[in-house]
Amino acid sequence: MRSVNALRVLVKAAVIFVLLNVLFAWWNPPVGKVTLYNWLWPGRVRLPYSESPHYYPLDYNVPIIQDLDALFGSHVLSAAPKAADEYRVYLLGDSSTWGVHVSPEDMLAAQINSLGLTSCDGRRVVAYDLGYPWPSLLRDLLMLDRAMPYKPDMVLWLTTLHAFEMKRADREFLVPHADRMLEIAAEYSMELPRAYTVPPPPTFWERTIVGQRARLKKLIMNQAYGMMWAATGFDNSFAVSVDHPPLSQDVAADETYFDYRSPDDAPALARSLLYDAIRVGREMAGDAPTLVVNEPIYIVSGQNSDVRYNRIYTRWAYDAYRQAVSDWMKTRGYPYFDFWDALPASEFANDMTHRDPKGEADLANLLAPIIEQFSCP
Amino acid sequence: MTVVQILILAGFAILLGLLRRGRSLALMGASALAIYWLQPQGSPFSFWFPTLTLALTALAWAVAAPSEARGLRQNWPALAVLFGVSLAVALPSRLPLEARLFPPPGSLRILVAALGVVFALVILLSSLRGGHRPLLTFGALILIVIFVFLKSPALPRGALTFLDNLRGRAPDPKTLVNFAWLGYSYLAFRILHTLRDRQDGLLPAVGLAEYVNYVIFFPSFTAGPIDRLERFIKDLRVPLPLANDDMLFAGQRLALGLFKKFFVADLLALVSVNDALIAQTRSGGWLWLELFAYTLRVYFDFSGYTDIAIGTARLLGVRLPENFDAPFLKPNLAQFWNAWHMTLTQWFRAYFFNPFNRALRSAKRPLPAWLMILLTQVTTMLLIGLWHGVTWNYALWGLWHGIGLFLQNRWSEFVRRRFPDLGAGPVSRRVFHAGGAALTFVYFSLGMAFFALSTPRLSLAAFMKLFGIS
Repeated sequence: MRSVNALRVLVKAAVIFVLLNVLFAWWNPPVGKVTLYNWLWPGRVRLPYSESPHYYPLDYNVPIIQDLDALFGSHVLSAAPKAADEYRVYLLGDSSTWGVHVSPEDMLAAQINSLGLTSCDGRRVVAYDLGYPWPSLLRDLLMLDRAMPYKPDMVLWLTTLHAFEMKRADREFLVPHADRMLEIAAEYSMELPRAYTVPPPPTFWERTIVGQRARLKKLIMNQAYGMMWAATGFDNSFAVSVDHPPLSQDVAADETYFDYRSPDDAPALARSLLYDAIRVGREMAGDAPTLVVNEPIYIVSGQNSDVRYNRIYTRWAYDAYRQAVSDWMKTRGYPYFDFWDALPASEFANDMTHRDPKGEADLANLLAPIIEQFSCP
Repeated sequence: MTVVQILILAGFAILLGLLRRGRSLALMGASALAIYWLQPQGSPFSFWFPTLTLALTALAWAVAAPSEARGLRQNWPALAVLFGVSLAVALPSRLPLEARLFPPPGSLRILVAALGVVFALVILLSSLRGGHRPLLTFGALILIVIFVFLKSPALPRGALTFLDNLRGRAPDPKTLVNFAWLGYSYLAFRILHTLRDRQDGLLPAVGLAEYVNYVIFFPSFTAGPIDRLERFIKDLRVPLPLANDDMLFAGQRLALGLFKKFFVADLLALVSVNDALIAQTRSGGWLWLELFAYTLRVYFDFSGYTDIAIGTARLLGVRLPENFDAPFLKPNLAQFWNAWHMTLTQWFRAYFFNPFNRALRSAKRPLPAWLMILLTQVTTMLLIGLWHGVTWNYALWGLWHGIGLFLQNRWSEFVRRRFPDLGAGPVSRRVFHAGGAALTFVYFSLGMAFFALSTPRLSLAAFMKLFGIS
């Protein structure tokens, strides 16, 4: 047998490794499009997300928002073309829409679907959860942009004050999509907030297999966790029962809201909001009616409740936001539904932010007549 | 171990393999440093467990080494290296946490005093006549007591709570989580092997450096394989030259091991059965898949580490024994256990199964053959189960395999007598082989319902779901 030179093997292996990396960086293959969901595993009913590596094995889920192909490839939305008898409703929004504290069968989209609604022309209303944790209208636009090929008939856009604020593009959900965000801004003549900074494009090294290893690992994990999704129908370890412990109704006597110090700053806060994103979302949705919903918030009733609605929102800031957005919508004739105080505190989970299953069901009931009404041409 | 740690250790192995002089001492120093480095941090014992490993090893040598190898003059460099490593690791303990490679000792004074006591004991014991039977038995008992303590979840918890109460502070749950003595299972079995062989007069004359190298050899310290001393020191004394073929072999095993462990096993871990999944999994079919995934995960994880150990050891000129021989292709449970974690089963065969079997056979009123087979198989597998942890579930796992081996033995005997020609043809032989391998895989995987889960109640629930009873 011919002897093999170890050094030669090592050099060959190194050359092949370098070549593969160079090829990967040059080609940038759409690896996110490779998916086992919707054929080997059922598609997920909400976008893959988990808070941190500690929770990945508890949620059987992993955040892959850096790759929208993989994100939507995992979702049941991409399973098949829309049926002729389906009236497709998208739910856009943040963690409340995603359903951080509820299981898949209790989340808002599932609650709407369980109501058995029909559109004006007799089609079945099917709601899809396209929410993703952390409030951001810009991220919502990215989601809607990516979801438009699946032909929505209606967009329900659940928002809150924090979503309207101008942020830098330094969140994990905006950084990898900065190019597309700029394209959307140009296409719809949207002025991006000054705070929005575009990160430098990835270097050649960052585009190699080695540079992309964290992303590739998450993509592979997402595919593997598809088996657990199929086996359990479970995707969220934060889902709580209705019997969560009562929360403290007291809040700090703090009047500030991030950089805004006092009610004198209300006009500045109102001026800073990203109203134009709503206009762009409506244009993006085309003929599909886009209904903006100010989502319910947790309202405390204990000490300092005259200063703050909850630990996130100080009263004057939230009131200024509600008034400003309502006025802006009314001026343009955009449908807008303000459900800010529609749910009692008891229907929120134990983090003062997210709804529990009862809260989701009640919100679905509030939205049901609106969906049916606006499904009429 | 992480990939980076493995690659660093492999690099060290290459450097040590190139040494022509002082290799044994250098290897010992490197192994001692490695066990401090690899010891999980975050508990007050992170420094003391590796230190105890070194102390126990030195004391075991002083008890077991044959007379011709115990002289202080010839062994003082090894003693100096051992104590030197402990002190060297302890000295930079005033560095900020991020800058530390090794766990801090807490108190240097206590360390120096402890090392002094160990040194005095080593000198005292090594000055005694070698092969002192009660001392050897006492040494073995100490190792077993520590083993049982560490492997029984309730005992460390109780002891730590007791210590915290003594100090008047609330128990810290993190301490218990990090309460892991790296490599103790393998350390104990290697030392027990030498103490037992010394009792039988089979232990070769080894100096302290050779003995320590055998016990804490860094490539195989954390996950085996369990080599035999007399075989190991042959390679250590006359190491294989680092030839082209050895480099190729080592590279292949390292690459294969890294792939098995860090890709296949870690991927399978994502879909392997665990406590929570017993309730969450919607049907028995999915649970079967999760159970099979767990079985394969354990195989790829463990055999991957073995490949890494064998590859790294070859860079040092040492041929470690194989631990796996395609176990899932074996047609029955007996052959499976001759191909799975082979060095552990060989250890139990040599030091428990064979002596026990001999004792039963040489009894004045021997038991029936079938009962002897049942007793020896079940007790051996029960002990192997308890080696993984002193819990009901590991005991049930051992029992499952002991009974399985017994039933398979009786079945084979029955078939051999009644149907001697069964499976004699080339086609039927293959069919029986494949069917046997599949059945063995399923039986082994079902046993994982005990191994992977934490309580008998969960295992029972798993069985019920697997067979569609719930």
